[in-house]
Amino acid sequence: MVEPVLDELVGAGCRFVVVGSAARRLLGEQVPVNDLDVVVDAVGSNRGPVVEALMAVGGVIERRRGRRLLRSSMALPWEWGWRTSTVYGDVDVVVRFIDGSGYEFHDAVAVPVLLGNGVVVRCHPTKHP
Amino acid sequence: MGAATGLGQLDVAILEACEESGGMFGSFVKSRTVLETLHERTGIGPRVAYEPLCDLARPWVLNLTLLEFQGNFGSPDGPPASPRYTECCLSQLGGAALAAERGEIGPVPIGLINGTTHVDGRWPPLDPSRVAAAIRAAAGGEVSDHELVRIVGQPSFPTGCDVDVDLALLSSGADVEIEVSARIEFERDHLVISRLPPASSPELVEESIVRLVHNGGMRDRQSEPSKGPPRLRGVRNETTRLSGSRVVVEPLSAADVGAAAVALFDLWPVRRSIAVRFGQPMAAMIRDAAASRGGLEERLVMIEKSARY
Repeated sequence: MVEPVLDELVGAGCRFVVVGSAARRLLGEQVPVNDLDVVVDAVGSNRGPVVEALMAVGGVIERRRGRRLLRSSMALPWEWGWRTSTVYGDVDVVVRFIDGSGYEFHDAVAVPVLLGNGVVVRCHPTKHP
Repeated sequence: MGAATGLGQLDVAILEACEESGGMFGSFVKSRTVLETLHERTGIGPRVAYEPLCDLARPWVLNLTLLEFQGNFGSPDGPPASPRYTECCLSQLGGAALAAERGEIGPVPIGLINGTTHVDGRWPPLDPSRVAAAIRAAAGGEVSDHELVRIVGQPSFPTGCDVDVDLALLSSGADVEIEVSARIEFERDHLVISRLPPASSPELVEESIVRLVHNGGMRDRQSEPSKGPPRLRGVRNETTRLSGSRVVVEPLSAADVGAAAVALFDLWPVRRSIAVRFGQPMAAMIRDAAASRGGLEERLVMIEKSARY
Protein backbone atom coordinates (compact mmCIF):
# COMPACT_ATOMS: atom_id res chain seq x y z
CA MET A 1 0.00 0.00 0.00
CA VAL A 2 2.57 2.57 -1.06
CA GLU A 3 0.28 4.56 -3.38
CA PRO A 4 -1.51 6.59 -0.67
CA VAL A 5 1.84 7.67 0.78
CA LEU A 6 3.21 8.56 -2.65
CA ASP A 7 -0.01 10.42 -3.36
CA GLU A 8 0.51 12.56 -0.23
CA LEU A 9 4.16 13.20 -1.04
CA VAL A 10 3.34 14.30 -4.58
CA GLY A 11 0.34 16.32 -3.40
CA ALA A 12 2.51 18.19 -0.89
CA GLY A 13 4.95 19.09 -3.66
CA CYS A 14 7.87 17.05 -2.27
CA ARG A 15 10.97 16.37 -4.29
CA PHE A 16 11.72 12.66 -3.85
CA VAL A 17 12.69 9.47 -5.65
CA VAL A 18 11.31 6.03 -4.83
CA VAL A 19 14.13 3.49 -4.48
CA GLY A 20 14.53 -0.13 -3.39
CA SER A 21 11.94 -2.85 -3.68
CA ALA A 22 8.99 -0.45 -3.98
CA ALA A 23 10.59 1.15 -7.03
CA ARG A 24 11.28 -2.25 -8.54
CA ARG A 25 7.68 -3.28 -7.95
CA LEU A 26 6.35 -0.06 -9.50
CA LEU A 27 8.52 -0.81 -12.53
CA GLY A 28 6.92 -4.21 -12.92
CA GLU A 29 9.31 -6.57 -11.11
CA GLN A 30 7.53 -9.16 -8.94
CA VAL A 31 9.28 -8.59 -5.60
CA PRO A 32 7.84 -8.42 -2.08
CA VAL A 33 7.60 -4.87 -0.75
CA ASN A 34 8.08 -4.66 3.01
CA ASP A 35 8.44 -0.92 3.23
CA LEU A 36 8.71 2.22 1.13
CA ASP A 37 12.16 3.76 0.67
CA VAL A 38 12.22 7.32 -0.60
CA VAL A 39 15.29 9.47 -1.15
CA VAL A 40 14.31 13.07 -0.45
CA ASP A 41 15.88 16.40 -1.25
CA ALA A 42 16.92 17.70 2.18
CA VAL A 43 17.04 21.40 1.28
CA GLY A 44 15.11 23.52 3.76
CA SER A 45 12.19 24.22 1.41
CA ASN A 46 11.51 20.48 0.93
CA ARG A 47 11.63 19.44 4.58
CA GLY A 48 8.31 20.95 5.62
CA PRO A 49 6.33 19.32 2.76
CA VAL A 50 7.91 15.90 3.48
CA VAL A 51 6.98 16.06 7.15
CA GLU A 52 3.49 17.42 6.40
CA ALA A 53 2.84 14.63 3.89
CA LEU A 54 3.92 11.93 6.34
CA MET A 55 1.89 13.52 9.14
CA ALA A 56 -1.13 13.28 6.85
CA VAL A 57 -0.73 9.48 6.71
CA GLY A 58 -0.38 9.17 10.49
CA GLY A 59 3.42 9.24 10.62
CA VAL A 60 4.87 7.93 13.86
CA ILE A 61 8.55 8.07 14.69
CA GLU A 62 10.57 5.89 17.01
CA ARG A 63 12.20 7.85 19.81
CA ARG A 64 14.26 6.74 22.77
CA ARG A 65 11.26 7.17 25.04
CA GLY A 66 8.81 5.35 22.82
CA ARG A 67 6.92 6.11 19.66
CA ARG A 68 5.74 9.65 18.96
CA LEU A 69 3.43 11.13 16.39
CA LEU A 70 5.48 12.96 13.81
CA ARG A 71 5.21 16.71 14.36
CA SER A 72 6.35 19.57 12.19
CA SER A 73 8.35 20.96 15.12
CA MET A 74 10.24 17.72 15.72
CA ALA A 75 14.02 17.83 15.38
CA LEU A 76 14.78 15.11 12.84
CA PRO A 77 18.11 13.63 11.69
CA TRP A 78 18.15 15.31 8.28
CA GLU A 79 21.80 14.50 7.79
CA TRP A 80 21.03 10.85 7.00
CA GLY A 81 17.31 10.21 7.27
CA TRP A 82 14.89 8.34 9.48
CA ARG A 83 12.14 5.71 9.53
CA THR A 84 8.49 6.61 9.92
CA SER A 85 5.62 4.21 10.53
CA THR A 86 2.45 5.28 8.75
CA VAL A 87 -1.00 3.77 8.66
CA TYR A 88 -0.02 2.31 5.26
CA GLY A 89 3.29 0.79 6.45
CA ASP A 90 6.85 1.84 7.18
CA VAL A 91 8.53 4.58 5.20
CA ASP A 92 12.32 4.99 5.19
CA VAL A 93 13.06 8.63 4.47
CA VAL A 94 16.63 8.62 3.16
CA VAL A 95 18.66 11.78 2.75
CA ARG A 96 21.99 10.13 2.06
CA PHE A 97 23.10 6.51 1.77
CA ILE A 98 26.40 5.44 3.31
CA ASP A 99 27.87 5.30 -0.20
CA GLY A 100 27.33 9.08 -0.23
CA SER A 101 24.56 9.09 -2.84
CA GLY A 102 21.57 11.35 -2.24
CA TYR A 103 18.58 12.88 -4.03
CA GLU A 104 20.48 14.44 -6.91
CA PHE A 105 22.21 11.20 -7.88
CA HIS A 106 19.06 9.08 -7.69
CA ASP A 107 16.91 11.70 -9.42
CA ALA A 108 19.37 11.85 -12.32
CA VAL A 109 18.99 8.14 -13.05
CA ALA A 110 15.31 7.77 -12.07
CA VAL A 111 12.51 7.07 -14.51
CA PRO A 112 8.94 8.38 -14.24
CA VAL A 113 6.18 5.91 -13.42
CA LEU A 114 2.48 6.62 -13.79
CA LEU A 115 0.43 5.26 -10.89
CA GLY A 116 -3.17 4.06 -11.21
CA ASN A 117 -4.52 7.24 -9.68
CA GLY A 118 -2.82 9.38 -12.31
CA VAL A 119 0.06 10.45 -10.08
CA VAL A 120 3.58 10.35 -11.53
CA VAL A 121 6.52 9.42 -9.33
CA ARG A 122 10.20 9.03 -10.14
CA CYS A 123 11.71 5.61 -9.42
CA HIS A 124 15.23 4.21 -9.22
CA PRO A 125 15.11 0.43 -8.70
CA THR A 126 18.12 -0.01 -6.40
CA LYS A 127 19.06 -3.22 -4.59
CA HIS A 128 20.77 -3.60 -1.24
CA PRO A 129 24.36 -4.84 -1.64
CA MET B 1 38.36 -3.36 32.90
CA GLY B 2 41.24 -3.11 30.47
CA ALA B 3 44.21 -2.39 32.72
CA ALA B 4 46.03 -0.27 30.15
CA THR B 5 43.07 1.91 29.18
CA GLY B 6 40.49 1.67 31.96
CA LEU B 7 37.89 0.70 29.35
CA GLY B 8 35.14 -1.80 30.08
CA GLN B 9 35.41 -5.34 28.72
CA LEU B 10 32.54 -4.84 26.27
CA ASP B 11 34.14 -1.69 24.89
CA VAL B 12 37.44 -3.49 24.33
CA ALA B 13 35.64 -6.46 22.75
CA ILE B 14 33.80 -4.14 20.33
CA LEU B 15 37.06 -2.44 19.33
CA GLU B 16 38.71 -5.83 18.78
CA ALA B 17 35.76 -7.02 16.68
CA CYS B 18 35.93 -3.85 14.61
CA GLU B 19 39.63 -4.36 13.98
CA GLU B 20 39.15 -8.06 13.15
CA SER B 21 36.40 -7.12 10.68
CA GLY B 22 38.80 -4.86 8.82
CA GLY B 23 37.63 -1.60 10.36
CA MET B 24 41.05 -0.07 10.87
CA PHE B 25 41.40 3.72 11.10
CA GLY B 26 40.03 5.24 7.86
CA SER B 27 38.67 1.93 6.54
CA PHE B 28 34.94 1.71 7.19
CA VAL B 29 33.12 -1.61 7.50
CA LYS B 30 29.42 -2.33 7.92
CA SER B 31 28.34 -2.16 11.56
CA ARG B 32 26.43 -5.39 10.99
CA THR B 33 29.71 -7.14 10.12
CA VAL B 34 31.35 -5.88 13.32
CA LEU B 35 28.38 -7.06 15.38
CA GLU B 36 28.49 -10.49 13.75
CA THR B 37 32.22 -10.78 14.51
CA LEU B 38 31.61 -9.72 18.10
CA HIS B 39 28.85 -12.31 18.40
CA GLU B 40 31.14 -15.06 17.11
CA ARG B 41 33.99 -14.04 19.44
CA THR B 42 32.05 -13.37 22.64
CA GLY B 43 28.48 -14.59 22.29
CA ILE B 44 27.25 -11.04 22.85
CA GLY B 45 24.43 -10.51 20.39
CA PRO B 46 23.85 -7.55 18.07
CA ARG B 47 20.72 -6.44 19.95
CA VAL B 48 22.77 -5.95 23.11
CA ALA B 49 25.94 -4.62 21.51
CA TYR B 50 24.69 -2.13 18.90
CA GLU B 51 23.92 0.76 21.26
CA PRO B 52 27.26 0.37 23.12
CA LEU B 53 28.98 0.27 19.72
CA CYS B 54 27.26 3.50 18.67
CA ASP B 55 28.09 5.06 22.04
CA LEU B 56 31.79 4.62 21.26
CA ALA B 57 31.30 7.06 18.36
CA ARG B 58 28.94 9.55 20.00
CA PRO B 59 30.61 12.80 21.01
CA TRP B 60 27.69 13.75 23.26
CA VAL B 61 28.21 10.54 25.25
CA LEU B 62 32.01 10.32 25.51
CA ASN B 63 34.71 12.96 25.81
CA LEU B 64 37.00 10.64 23.87
CA THR B 65 35.32 8.71 21.06
CA LEU B 66 36.95 5.48 19.92
CA LEU B 67 35.07 4.76 16.69
CA GLU B 68 34.38 6.81 13.57
CA PHE B 69 30.92 6.40 12.12
CA GLN B 70 29.09 6.82 8.83
CA GLY B 71 25.31 6.88 8.78
CA ASN B 72 22.72 7.78 11.37
CA PHE B 73 24.19 6.72 14.70
CA GLY B 74 21.35 8.24 16.69
CA SER B 75 20.97 11.40 18.71
CA PRO B 76 20.11 12.17 22.34
CA ASP B 77 16.47 11.68 21.26
CA GLY B 78 16.51 9.31 18.33
CA PRO B 79 17.75 5.74 17.91
CA PRO B 80 20.40 4.86 15.30
CA ALA B 81 19.59 3.49 11.87
CA SER B 82 19.71 -0.27 11.43
CA PRO B 83 23.30 -1.64 11.46
CA ARG B 84 22.68 -2.63 7.83
CA TYR B 85 22.76 1.07 6.99
CA THR B 86 25.72 2.23 9.07
CA GLU B 87 29.48 1.80 8.91
CA CYS B 88 32.22 2.24 11.47
CA CYS B 89 35.96 2.02 11.90
CA LEU B 90 38.46 2.55 14.70
CA SER B 91 39.35 6.16 15.42
CA GLN B 92 43.03 6.90 15.88
CA LEU B 93 42.52 6.76 19.62
CA GLY B 94 40.53 3.53 19.30
CA GLY B 95 43.51 1.97 17.52
CA ALA B 96 45.83 3.28 20.24
CA ALA B 97 43.56 1.80 22.91
CA LEU B 98 43.92 -1.66 21.37
CA ALA B 99 47.69 -1.18 21.04
CA ALA B 100 47.83 -0.22 24.72
CA GLU B 101 45.72 -3.23 25.73
CA ARG B 102 48.17 -5.47 23.85
CA GLY B 103 51.14 -3.81 25.55
CA GLU B 104 52.51 -2.41 22.29
CA ILE B 105 52.47 1.12 23.72
CA GLY B 106 52.16 2.50 27.24
CA PRO B 107 48.82 2.99 29.03
CA VAL B 108 46.31 5.44 27.56
CA PRO B 109 43.98 6.64 30.36
CA ILE B 110 40.76 6.72 28.32
CA GLY B 111 38.57 5.25 31.06
CA LEU B 112 39.84 7.84 33.52
CA ILE B 113 38.66 10.61 31.18
CA ASN B 114 35.43 9.10 29.82
CA GLY B 115 34.22 7.87 33.20
CA THR B 116 31.30 5.49 33.60
CA THR B 117 28.31 7.74 34.30
CA HIS B 118 27.14 7.24 30.69
CA VAL B 119 26.46 3.58 31.54
CA ASP B 120 24.97 4.44 34.95
CA GLY B 121 28.30 3.94 36.67
CA ARG B 122 29.60 6.45 39.22
CA TRP B 123 32.91 7.59 37.76
CA PRO B 124 32.39 11.10 36.38
CA PRO B 125 34.04 12.17 33.11
CA LEU B 126 36.96 14.60 33.16
CA ASP B 127 38.28 17.21 30.77
CA PRO B 128 40.77 15.45 28.42
CA SER B 129 43.08 18.46 28.01
CA ARG B 130 43.21 19.12 31.73
CA VAL B 131 43.89 15.47 32.54
CA ALA B 132 46.68 15.45 29.94
CA ALA B 133 48.14 18.61 31.49
CA ALA B 134 47.99 17.08 34.98
CA ILE B 135 49.69 13.87 33.81
CA ARG B 136 52.38 15.99 32.15
CA ALA B 137 52.87 17.93 35.39
CA ALA B 138 53.05 14.73 37.45
CA ALA B 139 55.61 13.26 35.05
CA GLY B 140 57.61 16.48 35.07
CA GLY B 141 58.68 16.40 38.69
CA GLU B 142 57.65 17.80 42.06
CA VAL B 143 54.02 18.78 42.11
CA SER B 144 51.66 18.62 45.08
CA ASP B 145 48.46 16.58 45.16
CA HIS B 146 46.56 19.81 45.64
CA GLU B 147 48.08 21.26 42.47
CA LEU B 148 47.24 18.13 40.45
CA VAL B 149 43.62 18.33 41.58
CA ARG B 150 43.54 22.01 40.66
CA ILE B 151 44.84 21.24 37.16
CA VAL B 152 42.34 18.42 36.54
CA GLY B 153 39.48 20.57 37.81
CA GLN B 154 35.87 19.52 38.20
CA PRO B 155 34.11 16.81 36.19
CA SER B 156 33.49 17.76 32.58
CA PHE B 157 30.58 16.17 30.73
CA PRO B 158 30.73 15.92 26.93
CA THR B 159 27.52 17.94 26.55
CA GLY B 160 29.25 20.90 28.19
CA CYS B 161 26.68 21.21 30.99
CA ASP B 162 27.50 23.20 34.10
CA VAL B 163 28.74 21.23 37.10
CA ASP B 164 28.57 22.21 40.74
CA VAL B 165 30.75 20.02 42.98
CA ASP B 166 32.79 20.01 46.16
CA LEU B 167 36.06 19.32 44.33
CA ALA B 168 38.11 18.70 47.47
CA LEU B 169 35.70 15.99 48.60
CA LEU B 170 35.38 14.42 45.15
CA SER B 171 39.14 14.32 44.63
CA SER B 172 39.59 12.49 47.92
CA GLY B 173 37.74 9.52 46.39
CA ALA B 174 34.65 9.90 48.60
CA ASP B 175 30.99 9.52 47.56
CA VAL B 176 29.78 12.90 46.39
CA GLU B 177 26.57 14.27 44.96
CA ILE B 178 27.14 16.72 42.14
CA GLU B 179 24.65 19.03 40.49
CA VAL B 180 24.58 19.12 36.70
CA SER B 181 22.59 21.78 34.90
CA ALA B 182 21.86 23.11 31.45
CA ARG B 183 22.82 26.60 30.36
CA ILE B 184 19.85 29.02 30.28
CA GLU B 185 20.61 32.25 28.45
CA PHE B 186 18.62 35.31 27.46
CA GLU B 187 18.55 35.97 23.72
CA ARG B 188 16.59 39.08 22.81
CA ASP B 189 13.10 38.42 24.26
CA HIS B 190 13.36 34.67 24.75
CA LEU B 191 15.26 32.05 26.72
CA VAL B 192 17.60 29.50 25.18
CA ILE B 193 18.33 26.22 26.94
CA SER B 194 21.48 24.47 25.75
CA ARG B 195 24.32 22.29 27.03
CA LEU B 196 21.97 19.80 28.62
CA PRO B 197 22.96 17.47 31.46
CA PRO B 198 23.82 13.86 30.62
CA ALA B 199 20.85 11.57 29.89
CA SER B 200 18.69 14.60 29.19
CA SER B 201 17.59 15.54 25.66
CA PRO B 202 15.95 18.41 23.82
CA GLU B 203 12.66 16.54 23.43
CA LEU B 204 12.65 15.67 27.11
CA VAL B 205 13.16 19.35 27.98
CA GLU B 206 10.46 20.42 25.54
CA GLU B 207 7.97 17.89 26.88
CA SER B 208 8.71 18.79 30.49
CA ILE B 209 8.02 22.45 29.77
CA VAL B 210 4.76 21.64 28.00
CA ARG B 211 3.68 19.42 30.91
CA LEU B 212 4.66 22.09 33.41
CA VAL B 213 2.51 24.67 31.67
CA HIS B 214 -0.45 22.36 31.01
CA ASN B 215 -0.47 20.81 34.47
CA GLY B 216 -0.49 24.18 36.16
CA GLY B 217 3.01 24.04 37.50
CA MET B 218 4.76 21.88 40.01
CA ARG B 219 3.31 20.95 43.37
CA ASP B 220 5.11 23.65 45.37
CA ARG B 221 3.89 26.25 42.92
CA GLN B 222 0.32 24.99 43.24
CA SER B 223 0.55 25.65 46.96
CA GLU B 224 1.36 29.24 46.07
CA PRO B 225 -1.25 30.13 43.45
CA SER B 226 0.19 33.60 43.06
CA LYS B 227 3.22 32.05 41.38
CA GLY B 228 1.33 29.71 39.05
CA PRO B 229 2.91 28.07 36.02
CA PRO B 230 5.26 30.10 33.85
CA ARG B 231 3.43 32.22 31.28
CA LEU B 232 4.83 31.11 27.93
CA ARG B 233 3.91 31.84 24.32
CA GLY B 234 5.67 28.77 22.97
CA VAL B 235 8.53 26.29 23.04
CA ARG B 236 10.65 25.34 20.02
CA ASN B 237 13.20 22.58 19.67
CA GLU B 238 15.87 24.08 17.40
CA THR B 239 18.39 21.31 17.90
CA THR B 240 20.56 20.39 14.95
CA ARG B 241 23.65 18.26 14.69
CA LEU B 242 25.72 21.39 14.07
CA SER B 243 24.29 23.69 16.72
CA GLY B 244 23.82 20.95 19.31
CA SER B 245 20.97 20.92 21.83
CA ARG B 246 18.96 24.12 21.69
CA VAL B 247 15.46 24.61 23.06
CA VAL B 248 13.97 28.08 22.69
CA VAL B 249 11.34 29.23 25.19
CA GLU B 250 9.27 32.31 24.44
CA PRO B 251 7.77 33.97 27.52
CA LEU B 252 4.43 35.69 27.04
CA SER B 253 5.92 39.10 27.77
CA ALA B 254 9.19 40.64 28.90
CA ALA B 255 7.83 40.70 32.44
CA ASP B 256 7.55 36.89 32.42
CA VAL B 257 11.16 36.16 31.46
CA GLY B 258 12.61 36.04 34.99
CA ALA B 259 9.86 33.85 36.44
CA ALA B 260 10.08 31.52 33.44
CA ALA B 261 13.84 31.10 33.86
CA VAL B 262 13.42 30.22 37.54
CA ALA B 263 10.66 27.70 36.77
CA LEU B 264 12.68 26.05 33.97
CA PHE B 265 15.67 25.66 36.23
CA ASP B 266 13.59 23.40 38.50
CA LEU B 267 12.89 20.86 35.77
CA TRP B 268 14.63 17.48 35.98
CA PRO B 269 15.94 17.47 32.37
CA VAL B 270 17.43 20.92 32.99
CA ARG B 271 19.03 20.43 36.40
CA ARG B 272 19.51 17.45 38.68
CA SER B 273 21.90 15.75 41.06
CA ILE B 274 23.90 12.62 40.38
CA ALA B 275 25.97 10.52 42.77
CA VAL B 276 29.60 10.03 41.78
CA ARG B 277 32.82 8.67 43.25
CA PHE B 278 36.34 7.88 42.12
CA GLY B 279 36.92 5.41 44.94
CA GLN B 280 40.53 6.54 45.25
CA PRO B 281 42.32 9.89 45.47
CA MET B 282 42.38 11.73 42.15
CA ALA B 283 46.05 12.70 42.51
CA ALA B 284 47.05 9.06 42.92
CA MET B 285 45.26 8.15 39.70
CA ILE B 286 47.06 10.91 37.84
CA ARG B 287 50.43 9.80 39.21
CA ASP B 288 49.65 6.21 38.16
CA ALA B 289 48.83 7.40 34.64
CA ALA B 290 52.14 9.29 34.54
CA ALA B 291 54.22 6.34 35.75
CA SER B 292 54.90 4.84 32.33
CA ARG B 293 57.14 7.48 30.72
CA GLY B 294 58.03 5.83 27.38
CA GLY B 295 56.12 7.60 24.61
CA LEU B 296 54.05 9.45 27.20
CA GLU B 297 54.05 12.76 25.34
CA GLU B 298 52.81 11.13 22.11
CA ARG B 299 50.00 9.43 24.00
CA LEU B 300 48.96 12.67 25.68
CA VAL B 301 49.01 14.59 22.39
CA MET B 302 46.76 11.92 20.88
CA ILE B 303 44.29 12.35 23.74
CA GLU B 304 44.28 16.13 23.31
CA LYS B 305 43.69 15.82 19.55
CA SER B 306 40.85 13.37 20.12
CA ALA B 307 38.94 15.72 22.42
CA ARG B 308 36.75 17.57 19.96
CA TYR B 309 33.08 17.97 20.91
